[in-house]
Amino acid sequence: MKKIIIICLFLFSCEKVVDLNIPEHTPMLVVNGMLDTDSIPSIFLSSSQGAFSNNPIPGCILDANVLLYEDDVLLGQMILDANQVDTFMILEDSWYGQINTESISYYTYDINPKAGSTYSIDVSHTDYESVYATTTIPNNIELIDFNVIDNASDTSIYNATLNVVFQDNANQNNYYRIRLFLQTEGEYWEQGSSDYEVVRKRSSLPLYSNDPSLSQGIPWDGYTFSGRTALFNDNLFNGQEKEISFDMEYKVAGIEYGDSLFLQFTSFSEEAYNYFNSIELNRDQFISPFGTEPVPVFSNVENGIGLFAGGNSMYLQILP
Amino acid sequence: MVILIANFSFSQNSETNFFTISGFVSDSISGESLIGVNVYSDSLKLGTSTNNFGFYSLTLPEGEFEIIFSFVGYSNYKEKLKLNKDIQLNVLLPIETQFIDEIVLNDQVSQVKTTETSVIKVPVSQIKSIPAFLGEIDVLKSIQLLPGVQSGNEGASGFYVRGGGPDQNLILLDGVPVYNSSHLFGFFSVFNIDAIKNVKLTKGGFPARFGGRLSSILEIDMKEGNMKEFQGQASLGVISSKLTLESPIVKDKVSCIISARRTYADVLLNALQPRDSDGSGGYYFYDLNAKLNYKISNRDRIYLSGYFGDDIFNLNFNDGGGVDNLDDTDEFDFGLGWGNKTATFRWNHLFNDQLFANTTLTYSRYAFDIDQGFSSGDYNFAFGYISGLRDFGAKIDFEYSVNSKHAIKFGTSYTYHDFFPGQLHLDFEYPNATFEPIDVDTVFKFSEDLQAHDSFLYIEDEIQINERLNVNIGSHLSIFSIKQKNYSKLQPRFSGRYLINEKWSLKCSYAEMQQNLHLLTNSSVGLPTDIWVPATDTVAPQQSRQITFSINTNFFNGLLESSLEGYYKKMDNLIAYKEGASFFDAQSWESSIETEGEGRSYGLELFLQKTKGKTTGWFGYTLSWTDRKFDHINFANWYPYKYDRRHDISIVISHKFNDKIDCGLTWVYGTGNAITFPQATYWGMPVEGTYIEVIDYYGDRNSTRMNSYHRLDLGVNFNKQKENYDRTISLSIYNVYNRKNPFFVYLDEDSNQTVARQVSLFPIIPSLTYSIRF
Repeated sequence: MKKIIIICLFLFSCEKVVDLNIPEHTPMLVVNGMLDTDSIPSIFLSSSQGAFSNNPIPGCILDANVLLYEDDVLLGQMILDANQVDTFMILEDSWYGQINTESISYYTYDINPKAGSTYSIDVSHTDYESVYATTTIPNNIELIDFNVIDNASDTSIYNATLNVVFQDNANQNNYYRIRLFLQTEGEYWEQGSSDYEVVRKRSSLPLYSNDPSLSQGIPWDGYTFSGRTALFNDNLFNGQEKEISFDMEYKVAGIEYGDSLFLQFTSFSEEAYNYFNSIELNRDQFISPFGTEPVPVFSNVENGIGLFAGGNSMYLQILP
Repeated sequence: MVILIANFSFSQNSETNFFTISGFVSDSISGESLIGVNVYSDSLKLGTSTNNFGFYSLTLPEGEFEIIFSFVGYSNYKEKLKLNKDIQLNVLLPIETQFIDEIVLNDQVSQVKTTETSVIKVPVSQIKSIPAFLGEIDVLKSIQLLPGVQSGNEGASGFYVRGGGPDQNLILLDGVPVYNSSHLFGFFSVFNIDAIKNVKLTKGGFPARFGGRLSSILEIDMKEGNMKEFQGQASLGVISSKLTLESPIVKDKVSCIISARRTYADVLLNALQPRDSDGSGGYYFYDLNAKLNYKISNRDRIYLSGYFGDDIFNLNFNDGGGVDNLDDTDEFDFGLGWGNKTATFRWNHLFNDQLFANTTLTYSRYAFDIDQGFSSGDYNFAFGYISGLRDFGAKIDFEYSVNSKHAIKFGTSYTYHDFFPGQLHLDFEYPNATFEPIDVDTVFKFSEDLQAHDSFLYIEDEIQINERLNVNIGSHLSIFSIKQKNYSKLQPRFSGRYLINEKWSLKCSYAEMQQNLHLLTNSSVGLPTDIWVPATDTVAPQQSRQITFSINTNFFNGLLESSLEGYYKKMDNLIAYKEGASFFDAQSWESSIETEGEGRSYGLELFLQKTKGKTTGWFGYTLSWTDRKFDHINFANWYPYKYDRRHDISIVISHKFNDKIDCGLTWVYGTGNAITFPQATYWGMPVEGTYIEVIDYYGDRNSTRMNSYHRLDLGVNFNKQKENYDRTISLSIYNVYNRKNPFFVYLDEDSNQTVARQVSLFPIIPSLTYSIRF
């Protein structure tokens, strides 16, 4: 409908390139880091680029001074880890294509974050304004029960129901994320090679639910929620025992040898929840005179941009 | 207040005998009652004005006085009266036949002298002389030219008063609220100028009789129909044609008027379309205004009026229709319709010379629906959406003229609201799906239907404390009930005028308002998809407090009037869609919105107006600031409202060269609308361990400005008196210097360069309209 209105209106319209009175953007430090109790802290640093710049975003910043604090006590300097380099595709946005690939290097510190502790970072660099960010690692999730009801005989395409029961902490705001992953073994053919190697691939699967806590996701086929990331907070069940159920499409009975199906259940800091919530909305936005306002992605980095947040995940095995 | 009233009444009655002159003032040719006619005794420096039904009541001490009746566009009428008893005097005012450059206006109540603050009346004759977009004279577009009133986007007829939203304007057509005042996605208003008699806008200092909206009251009164003779008007324009007929049914007793308008783009399109075309479609809107007016006696009069209007849009493609990705078996249908229906029954009753009552029964309905379907050999998809509301109302208003220094108005109103905020019906069939056939037939209720009871009581008293000081004090008690939840609020109202001398006055006002309805909107073009919803147990009514100060003067013996007005308005309990939400989100509307928002608006308005002579018009300048704040928008920081407009200028000039030629000019300038625009880009968190998204960094919401808006329109009317009718040919040119005004701006790539690309809607557009009056 939106498109039709646009077509009709724009019969009259014309377009031209204009100058907008936007102050020139001074590049800022961008921090990206999720701290979890099951791994050492690792963050990567990059910088922002003015919207009208024609250059790609410069790669990772490798010469910054990053100080890590635990409960306001300096732990020490995070060091660039030469052994931990990942290669990522860079996408202009989630709908359009890949721009290039980039190697990402991480600053790490050799401790495992503790649940309930507050961590802060101070990042300084000669070319940028220093930035600061802080987050608190959520407490462990108090899981009461987890069960899978296999509906293999059901004619419905939703072949299994996942029930998660947990106790919410009454003394704090809690933020959760549930995702369903299928890990499979697949063949990877290198270009020009006649041989392949077997690699493990992990992909997230859609979940369906009618739970009122799930504010995001697309209503579909009688479900108020459908999506690959179930993000919710405890506004509706603060301090209570909560049971949340999801249907999933994957045929449990049809899982192949070597496949692994599991649920990732994460308790998030508020910063992480705000970030993932806003980035989902940002992906779905339809910016036009007829659509929504642009949705800015949450940042908790003072004087900079990005996310420094805490999570506390558990993995619930479904199969094998 | 009661004690005050009693004191005034007593003090006057105890000194001398008082008698009342009362009656109706009408146009001498058509018998149409005239609103706002000044009735004045120069020797006593006392006066009043006619109400919305042309009735006046003036109580004066015993004696012999000259009473003057004066009204813009009409010759003055004077009558010497020996007042030793109550007198009923009905007056027929003749239309001014020649222009008088030097008029002494000291004998009438000018804006300088009235107690009303923040009120602007725009004569219909003035509106008709303003150059019209596509030849379509538009009441709301003329309202946008007033200081303190801003237009939204290019061409749109919605208006924003002192930082308020479009829902915060109470638009009353013959006393009935009109919920969606636009046709053609906001480019034209629903009001047919040929059927309108009076337009009055109140932006602040709201008298107690008004309530239910935070920002403005726009009163539009329909003509009553010619009581003397049959009369008609017809016009043929670029996009629409109009016909208005009015006639006495029983001369001087019963009259009626009917006015219709329809666009014909659809008819032309269908006629021009090849018969073997794969696609068809069209759009049209129509209006029908009708009114019956019956003078039962000198004390009783009834009116029955109605408005019916619809917009219909449809589109159909068969066999692909040449659209990419559609094959020969594909069929696509789309339909969109929306419209208002209102009806009013009014009964005026004069209990005695001092007590006038108006009883009103009203019905108003607004609804829109969307239907879309797509079918192919493989699958069928269809969805439908409907939303709207309807009101049933009853109201009684009393006007009691206690004496020449005291006029009390009081009354009560009850409205039953029936909301159907919407449901989405989705039907998807895919019988040949790869794995299993899919057949989904689902209804998503955007909200349950809601019923609400909305009532209010009010009393206001206009008191002349002395020759210099007039005040209007009142109170408005509103009670709103929905889902076992009651919201009641006593809203104090005050406005006062201090006359420094005959040419200068100071005014101030304070008004608290409560609005029990909200409009869910996130488009900037006044789409019919904007959804009216009530306050509920979880969404509180909107509230505002507004204070104004003004200094008013006139020059050249009253030929020019000017005012400089400052205001501050605070708004609470505003709502907005949550970030990323829109009406397409088929969840409960209450879960899709942010509540308890705050708003603030303040500014200065300069208004210079000339209403008499060959050249009339006004200059308006507004300097203003408007902000919003929600807990979960812009990370709880204040941000500029989309229509925060620092500078807004309008110049409106009409000139009548002679009876054959008159012309009009408007020029508008406005600071660009505030938009949220990317300032920078950066890398986000890795996703799924495989990719990183480039994210736009926006800074604060609405922190960027589109380019400024300015436009010049010209119009000229050529009038000719034929044997049996008067003919007018109107030529208007919209956007004379072809300014590419901003409608929408987005980031784009142009020759490997990242640029801001601006979409502009309307270039220079000439139009021609042919009208006759018989």
